Amino acid sequence: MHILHVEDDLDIQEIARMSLEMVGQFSITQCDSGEAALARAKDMTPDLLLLDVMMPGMTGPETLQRLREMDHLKDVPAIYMTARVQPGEIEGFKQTGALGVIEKPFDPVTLSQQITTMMGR
Amino acid sequence: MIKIGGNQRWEVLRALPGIASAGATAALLSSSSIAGISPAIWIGPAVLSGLAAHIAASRLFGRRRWGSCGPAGLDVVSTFHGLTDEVFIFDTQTLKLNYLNEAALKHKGWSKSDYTHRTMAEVCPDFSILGFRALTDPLLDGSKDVIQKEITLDRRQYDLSAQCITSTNGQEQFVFVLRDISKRAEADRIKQEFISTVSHELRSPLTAIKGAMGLVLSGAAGALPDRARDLIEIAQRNADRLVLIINDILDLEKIAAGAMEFDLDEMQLSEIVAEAIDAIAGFSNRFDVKIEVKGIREGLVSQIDPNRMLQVMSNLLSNAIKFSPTGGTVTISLTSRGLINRISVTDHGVGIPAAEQAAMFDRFAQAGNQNRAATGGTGLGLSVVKAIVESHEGTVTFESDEGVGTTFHVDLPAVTTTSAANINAGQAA
Repeated sequence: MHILHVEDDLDIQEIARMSLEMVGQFSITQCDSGEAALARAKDMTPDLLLLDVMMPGMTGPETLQRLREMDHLKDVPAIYMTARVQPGEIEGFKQTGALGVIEKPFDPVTLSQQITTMMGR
Repeated sequence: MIKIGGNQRWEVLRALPGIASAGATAALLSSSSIAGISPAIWIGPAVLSGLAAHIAASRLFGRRRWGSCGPAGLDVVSTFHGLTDEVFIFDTQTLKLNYLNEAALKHKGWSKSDYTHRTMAEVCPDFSILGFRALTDPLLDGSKDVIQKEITLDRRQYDLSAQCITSTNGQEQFVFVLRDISKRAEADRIKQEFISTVSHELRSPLTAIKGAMGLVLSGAAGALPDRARDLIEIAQRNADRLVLIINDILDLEKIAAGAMEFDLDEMQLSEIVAEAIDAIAGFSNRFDVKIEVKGIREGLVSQIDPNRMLQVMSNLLSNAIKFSPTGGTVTISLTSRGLINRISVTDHGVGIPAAEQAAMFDRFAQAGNQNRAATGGTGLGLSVVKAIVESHEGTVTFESDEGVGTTFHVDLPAVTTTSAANINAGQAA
């Protein structure tokens, strides 16, 4: 499984990369902004979009909306990663077309498992 | 006791000493039954004896009577006119404006002479007659004396207080008093934004710290010497505590700001108790403490948010476990006390010293100077418990004897048998 991960915090990027590659055996492409993700996604079709919510510039939901405008990405599942949210907010995130939300701080040992469970695999 | 229209009634009055514009000593009075219209009236001490007549008149102020409703020497109209709250008085049927005070005129940009032909529809830019009647009908049919509501008008937020008052000639009038709360609302918004920013800014580094340590402990970076593992585990445990503290602070702030969502449902409390015991099993094993279920009464129903109530139970049970001696027992019970359902959690630990009992629900209070790092507490658990229970219209109390133990009681309003029967019927179906 190949994941496009958008996260502005480079340390969190590194943790997520190690976790997803080493524990989950996934491959991963990382971008540090929504704008960079839009450019990078033009010539790739990942199996999952993993998006931070609060980023300078485009937010996660804005990035997802723009990514989904690309034909080859319109059906790719998406998951947000963000700080603690209320149940109502999770509903709001799902309405933007995401499968769900993974809460930060996430557990790097079980992150891959959380993702596969959310994707129903 | 005053007399209005031949009927005697009690009025609650508040009086503040002050100086009238003319410089004479005066008292500022307000009557609680008409507090909704903020009738702060200046009245000199010489006329205090004429108070009853004054209050009676102020309850009955028809437009024509204003000039004569105050005791001699008291200019009620200009007093009323100068209130900082905005006052709109208008006919209940035609909604034609009969009176606007200075603040209301200033808000609308109207002069004293050009508002009497206007109606309430011109006061509110997005006026809808249906919505307006839905708001005011309870005043006309007498089911409510006063309606208080937060509204937005001309992009500012107001506390609205609406009443229907009948004048001496029998004419019914609506009296709307608007208090500008934009500044308070803005302060609340800034506070919320700050909390959410702090939450995000603290969580990002914590995500990296916890993630890095988690990976090291998982062996992702190679085998760890035992001493190094012990040290990383200490760091990891404390990072976990920091996350819990941030969560608790955010929960408390959310509840205080009325921003926490409560998904209320009528639920069997025995189900919540059972779920809470299941969820805490691992923790109680770690401390070698048994959870004993004693006197769980089935069929007790309260209106609760199950997730929040589980948070309450988890906080109380984990506290009881932490303060129990190794090998000890924590007892949980569910009983009915008339209209109240009571969940009790009892430990047989050291108890709470009498001197510390009063502060137990304060933030960062902890009994007997217990080492929080050792017990893994945040110092906020009981504050969160209290805030959540009170948001359910319930109360939380405790009894404690030093050296004997402590019992915490969560009292929740019971749902009536009829509605509980409906739930049961629904579940059976």
